[in-house]
Amino acid sequence: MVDVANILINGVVISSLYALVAIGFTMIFGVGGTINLAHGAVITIGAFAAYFVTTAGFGIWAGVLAAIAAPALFSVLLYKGFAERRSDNIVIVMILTLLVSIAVEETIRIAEGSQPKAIPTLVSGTTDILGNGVQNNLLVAVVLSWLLIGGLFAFINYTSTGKAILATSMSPRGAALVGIESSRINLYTWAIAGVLAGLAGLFLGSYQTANWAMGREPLILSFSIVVLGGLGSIRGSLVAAYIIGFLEVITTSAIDPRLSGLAGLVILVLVLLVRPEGLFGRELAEA
Amino acid sequence: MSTESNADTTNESATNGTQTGESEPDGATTGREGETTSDAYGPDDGLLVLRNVTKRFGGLTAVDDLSFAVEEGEILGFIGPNGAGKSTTFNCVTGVYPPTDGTVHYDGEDVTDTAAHKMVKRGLARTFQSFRPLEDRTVLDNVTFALTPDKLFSLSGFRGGLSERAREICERVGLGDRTGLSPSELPHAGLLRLELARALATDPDLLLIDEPFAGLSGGEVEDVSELLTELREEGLTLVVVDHNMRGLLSLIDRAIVIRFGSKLASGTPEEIRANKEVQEAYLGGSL
Amino acid sequence: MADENLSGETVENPSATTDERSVFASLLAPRYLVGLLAVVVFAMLPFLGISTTQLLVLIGALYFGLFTMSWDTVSGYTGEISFGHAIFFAVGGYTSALLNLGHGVTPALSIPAGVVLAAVAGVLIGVPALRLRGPYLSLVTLVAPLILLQAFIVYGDVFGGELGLSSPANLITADEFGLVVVANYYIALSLFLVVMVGLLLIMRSGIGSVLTAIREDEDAVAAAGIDVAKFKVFAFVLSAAVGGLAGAMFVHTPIGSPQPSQLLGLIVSIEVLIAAILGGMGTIVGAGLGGVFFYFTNDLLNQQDATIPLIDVGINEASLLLFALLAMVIIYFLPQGIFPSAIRTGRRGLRRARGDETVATDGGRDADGAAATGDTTNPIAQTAERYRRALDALNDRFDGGDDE
Repeated sequence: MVDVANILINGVVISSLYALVAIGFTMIFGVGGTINLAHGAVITIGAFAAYFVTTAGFGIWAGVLAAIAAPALFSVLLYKGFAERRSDNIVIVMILTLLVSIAVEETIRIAEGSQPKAIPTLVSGTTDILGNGVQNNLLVAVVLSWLLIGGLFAFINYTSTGKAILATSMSPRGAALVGIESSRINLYTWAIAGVLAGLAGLFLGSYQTANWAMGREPLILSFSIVVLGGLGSIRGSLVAAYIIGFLEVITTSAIDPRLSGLAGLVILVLVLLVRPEGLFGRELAEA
Repeated sequence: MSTESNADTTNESATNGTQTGESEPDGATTGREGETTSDAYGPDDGLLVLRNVTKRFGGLTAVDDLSFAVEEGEILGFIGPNGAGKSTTFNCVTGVYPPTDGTVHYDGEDVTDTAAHKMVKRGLARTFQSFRPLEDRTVLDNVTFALTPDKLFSLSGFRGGLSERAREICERVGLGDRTGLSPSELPHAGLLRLELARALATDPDLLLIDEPFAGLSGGEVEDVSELLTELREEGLTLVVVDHNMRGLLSLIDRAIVIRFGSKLASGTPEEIRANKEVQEAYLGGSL
Repeated sequence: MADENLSGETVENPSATTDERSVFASLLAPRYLVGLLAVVVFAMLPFLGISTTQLLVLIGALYFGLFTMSWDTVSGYTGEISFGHAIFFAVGGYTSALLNLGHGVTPALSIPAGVVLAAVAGVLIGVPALRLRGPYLSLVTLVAPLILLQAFIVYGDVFGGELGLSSPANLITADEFGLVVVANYYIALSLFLVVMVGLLLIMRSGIGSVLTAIREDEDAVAAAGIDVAKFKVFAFVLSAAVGGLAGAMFVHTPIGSPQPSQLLGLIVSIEVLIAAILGGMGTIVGAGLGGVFFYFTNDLLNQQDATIPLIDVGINEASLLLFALLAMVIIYFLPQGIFPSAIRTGRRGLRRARGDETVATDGGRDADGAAATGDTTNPIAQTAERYRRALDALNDRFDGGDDE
């Protein structure tokens, strides 16, 4: 029999984490028009930063800090080093981020090998939900994800920097006309996206395992999510993450585990052929 | 959204309460009398006939129930203020996108949803208001390109013959001495001539010219008008779109004035000039 | 105007036409002589003391170069970037291998079958792709091989799953392995050159000028009465066929075999894309050379036993990393690719040697005819423009077409 409770729980966990990744990706695009193919590598950096810190004996919360700081720093460097300087050519930037992604993955692979690593959990123990013993760690991950996303919504809609980000995504020229400095705004956006992805990496690493290629599948799924939700729409990415996350879990649990990733790909093709602007077109979340 | 009746004799008297008394020119030039019925135009009433053409984008109605006919051998002016829907109408006719409603007939045949390149093959050519030459090739090569047959494998391998014809066309429009330049080296008037050359290369019967006089000096306007008149004498039918009538009124035989996507008036230049609604629409401006 | 645009067409001087006279004159241009020299060197390589192993690698490199040229045929010339070109490589290779292994079909027949099936795949992808532009089209191309790979894994008993199939029959059989390798080498080299010349001829003809125009401005092409869809599909099918040919030939060589890691993996699609861009998009020659050098260098690095000091990592371990870093630097500074930049530098050097002007005489353009950095007539710039336009176009669906 199909374990509905299991599917529900896994669906929620996976969708929440993928939402973090997709939202960051869509923000970078929405604000700066950049397709950042290194976004998957950022996930990996977050996971491994936490891994290094915790294996060095500093405890998991230090690991969380590392999973925030390292990806943020990396994203900022990537923006400043490549994305900003070659911003006249979106394809070149895309290719450069692709190369960076390869370099990061290879570096990690060379340094740490191909064996999957475990990242310790934030909290221990399990809770009983719907007859399944669910790791408290997962509950924390889901709650934290939602707090982060909620915080992001609040930031975008109620702080001046957040509103500046919104303005830039709607009209870069208009935003420039009122004195919003796009370079600074892009910097914040990339940093935020990096933090979200890095934490997603941390959670994924403790929920599953961490290895050098762990960012690939989330990145490709992000494409599906972001296209389904509408490139540039935070709200769209959130909704689409749950749609695709659940479809993915249902496919692998109830149909065939070898079909992992297929649900997202099929949805991607269908959306592209039928309604490429996705569910919400191009708009960031509004109040 | 105005509910435009198709009868030309009443025009928009319903919306502003004045009888304009505007009517089609008498039978001397058109042979069509008294268009008082709603199906004023049959498919054979002109080389190009629009009937009840409407174009909506989401909630915006750009063209609203527009009907008119272009007669063979005439120079028709298509006039309206910015935002009136001129380019949208153009695009519906030339196959950039199909109208939401209504029909377009060319040479007696229904061409309503015909693709752009097929319209060109039928004999309907257009120029682009925002000049779109191919920047990576010379003036001559641009025109040669427009002569390229729509065949994958044609015998004009080295295009020697095509080059000759291209040269003739360049001479015709006044670019004979500049064939080796790249488009970026041409002044505004030269780019317009290049647009005309590329359109002429497709051997059209009807030429739609989009805002040719914008950005031209008085002398250049005269030159271009003279060229267009010559083209008409050589057998071409012309529709010239513009938003002010400065250069237009001496050139055209007849004019259609539109506003907010629907027909405001039609008639000879004198009739248009005398039309009070038209004067109001232009706020006493450039008449 | 420029002495020469990047697709290789030559206008000798501003008022000449692209007619037969100037084509013959251009055949004597220095870069053709350099090319001829390179061909001679390559042809002589087996006699210049190169080892059998290295010849084997070169064979692989030549087929990869063929594959890269197939990528350039569609992506370099129409500006639609294919992120999943491995699918054509794989369809060609697997078809030929399956026919040969499973049904005993001789390579002389199974390889053309692979080409045909790859061409069919080109239609299956090219036609739906007509509705899409820019990154959306790229996404669809990305997805195709991923789905195929999954199918190969699910139906592992037929397709061999992740490990692939065993090697099919060789093109050449002989008693001495060295002889087999040399024969394979000449086959690969001839095919590479023949296809390169063929593609160049096509791209210099009317078809090429239409494709590059499509790359720059599809509406202008439609306004010239040309069916854009027909030409785009043609580019896809030609590209797919050549890619399939490369794959089909490759699996029958001693160095290639029908495995996902060699034919179908994401890394294969990425490698061919990067090699083409490094070499020079939209030039055929640049892409082909980029492919050859990439494969050869990659393999060369993989064979090194030396260790990088300080970090104590073998070069063979770090080959992909080194390559990625190198590619980053090159693409950052030479976004058009190595080949076009080399040509331009070479021409400037020749000009200086002849004592001609290297500075613009009319201001704004240097003697090569290229504008300053704002030049938007090269393939990569036009491709970026297409991407941008495709992304903006979707937003406009809500704003509503033109203002007027």
